[in-house]
Amino acid sequence: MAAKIRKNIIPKKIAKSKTIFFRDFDGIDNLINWINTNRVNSHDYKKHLIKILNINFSRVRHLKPYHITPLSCLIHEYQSKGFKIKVRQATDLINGYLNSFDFGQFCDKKHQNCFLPTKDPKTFPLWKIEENKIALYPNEIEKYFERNHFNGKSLSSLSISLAEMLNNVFDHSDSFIPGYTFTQYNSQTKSIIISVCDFGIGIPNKVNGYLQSKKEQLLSNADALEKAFQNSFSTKSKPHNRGFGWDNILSNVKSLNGRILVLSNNCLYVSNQKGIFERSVYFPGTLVVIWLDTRNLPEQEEELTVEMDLF
Amino acid sequence: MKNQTIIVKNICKGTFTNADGVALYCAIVRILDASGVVVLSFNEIDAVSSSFLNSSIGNIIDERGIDTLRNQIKITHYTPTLAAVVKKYIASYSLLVV
Repeated sequence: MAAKIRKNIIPKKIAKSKTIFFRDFDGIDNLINWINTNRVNSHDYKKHLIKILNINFSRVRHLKPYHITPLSCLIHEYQSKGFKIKVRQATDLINGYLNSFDFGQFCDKKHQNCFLPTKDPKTFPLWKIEENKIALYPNEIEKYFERNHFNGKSLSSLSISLAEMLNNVFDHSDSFIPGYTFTQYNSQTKSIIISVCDFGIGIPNKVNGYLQSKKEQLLSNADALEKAFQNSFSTKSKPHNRGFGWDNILSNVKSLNGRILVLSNNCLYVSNQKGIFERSVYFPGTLVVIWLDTRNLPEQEEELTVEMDLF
Repeated sequence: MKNQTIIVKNICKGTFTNADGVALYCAIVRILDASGVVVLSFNEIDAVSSSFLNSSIGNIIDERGIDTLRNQIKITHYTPTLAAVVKKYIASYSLLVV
């Protein structure tokens, strides 16, 4: 009887579920700090006995794809530990945004991870990077945006860049959880924003790990990230890697006068700023964001039927 | 040598993964082994990734050399951009293996 009574009296503070507050971030370091502070590996199981994570959006006025993908990785980590996720106190605007791509379903683990149209034709579904669908995803997204917004224009730069980024996550990230990608068209700035995120090893760590295995001199993190971008350099994580992926991504972005941001470990590369900058905070993986200026999209090309030699 | 056409979209689910590149590689090799000339048709394909090219054309270069590519593989039904991507890949990869 005494044991039964003891079991029913649980102090309220222990019974509480955990609440984290998502917010507007006024700089990339704040986003990184927020991610690091709130990941499941910092969860206090004694303080928060119940495995429910409440994500409070009351302090959020706007969300972008580069918020959604690292948040999705963070949520996946909690879900992999058996947590339920609850979205709390989002404004009507934020709720509308989150509902437009069924974020609630993702939190409830009812997310189908497919290519069904979202409620907002400017948004392609949030997608967990799965190996067996990397073949399909880039084409689906290309067709989706061509059909809904850019009829007669070619979005092959979008599909190639995305394919290269998804392959990078799958081949190189060594992440325990899947990466996530999310793409949206901003009709005001006329740009397509693509975000791909993983909580893996990070590019500088990967490069230096490879150099160490070859008994070569290690590089600073900034130099290691720069080396990863070099054409024909590869850490050969998989036998088929040859080191041409980053060149494809960077030249596609440049050809459309777009922008790219690469955040990996403590390094930040932004294409319109010279150099790679080492930060004082570490991002737990890699976040890549591409802005494609849709005013520079080329027209769709006619297929040529004349046989051509490859040289 | 007899020309034989491979319609890439019939062989591969897509043109972005190394798995699809391997499928194309196998189809190419069957024709090469029979001393044929391969004509790759990229009908309804406007983009290919480096992984796909690594596992298809890249492997052909590795195993059979540049001359096989030069003499026994052509492309058809391509967009100018796709042709440029494939040619750029071959030019870059050739420098690695020489």
